[in-house]
Amino acid sequence: MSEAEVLAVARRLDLRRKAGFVLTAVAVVFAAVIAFQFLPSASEHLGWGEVLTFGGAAILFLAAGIGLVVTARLPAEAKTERITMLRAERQQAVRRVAFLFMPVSLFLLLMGTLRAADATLDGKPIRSVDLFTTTAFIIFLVLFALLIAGLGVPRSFRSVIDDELSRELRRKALVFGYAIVLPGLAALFVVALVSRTLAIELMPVLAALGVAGPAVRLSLLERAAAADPDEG
Amino acid sequence: MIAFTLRNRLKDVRAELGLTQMELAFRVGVSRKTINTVENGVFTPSTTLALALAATLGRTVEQLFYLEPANA
Repeated sequence: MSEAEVLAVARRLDLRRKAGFVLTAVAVVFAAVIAFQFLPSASEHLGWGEVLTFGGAAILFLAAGIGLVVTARLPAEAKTERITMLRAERQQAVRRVAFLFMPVSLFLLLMGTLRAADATLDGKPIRSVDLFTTTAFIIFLVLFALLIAGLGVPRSFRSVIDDELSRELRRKALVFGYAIVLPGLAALFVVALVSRTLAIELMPVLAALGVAGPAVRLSLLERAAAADPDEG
Repeated sequence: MIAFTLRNRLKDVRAELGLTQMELAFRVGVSRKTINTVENGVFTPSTTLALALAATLGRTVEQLFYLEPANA
């Protein structure tokens, strides 16, 4: 196989693995929907028919997801140093775009989290959808922060995605995050002196900004570093 | 103290040897963007990376990197 063919095969297998992870994540979401029904604090419950449907879907998605991941093993030709490096360069470009989408997903979850905080502060009972959205928001925040910090990079891709320039760019992005969060915390304290309710409602906003800011900054820094390529 | 700016001849030497940024990156074991930013003077490499670049290109570090007075 030529280098281009090996790369195409590796790309297909990478896509299959990613589809497997997505299906597994969907299975986890279905399982979480069921689990939240059984929380004593949940104010609404699904019928058994719905629980069984969600449960069945969770099992199906999980089986399909694991199946796709297991069958997406790379052939030996795709594991050479050169092909691995070319794949890592491509992976880096994908990560750059993914960093730009992080604020969008955080913003969507933030809306639900704010609604949940608002309802709780008004003394309304906690709905399972509120618990679910808030939990998802926190999980996404932590996950995104870890990704920005450079965790989750496959070992074979580290020479490209975790080289000294990448670490320097990540450091700059994280410093940007601190520059948002630290004064933000001080401001939140001042707000809390005036209105505790408002301070509580602003907490998730600050947390989202503290992660979304560095994500965008890192993406832009990476883009600038890769710009003006001289392939000659 | 005189202020200096770090300059380099990385791009010229690489072109002399007929290497692309990607090929040099592969040989040194870093990303292409690292080579790109070092060549453009945006990123100052560590001593380790400077030595690795010099060794890969068959030059000394002084042949690749030099200091220029900041006002020059």
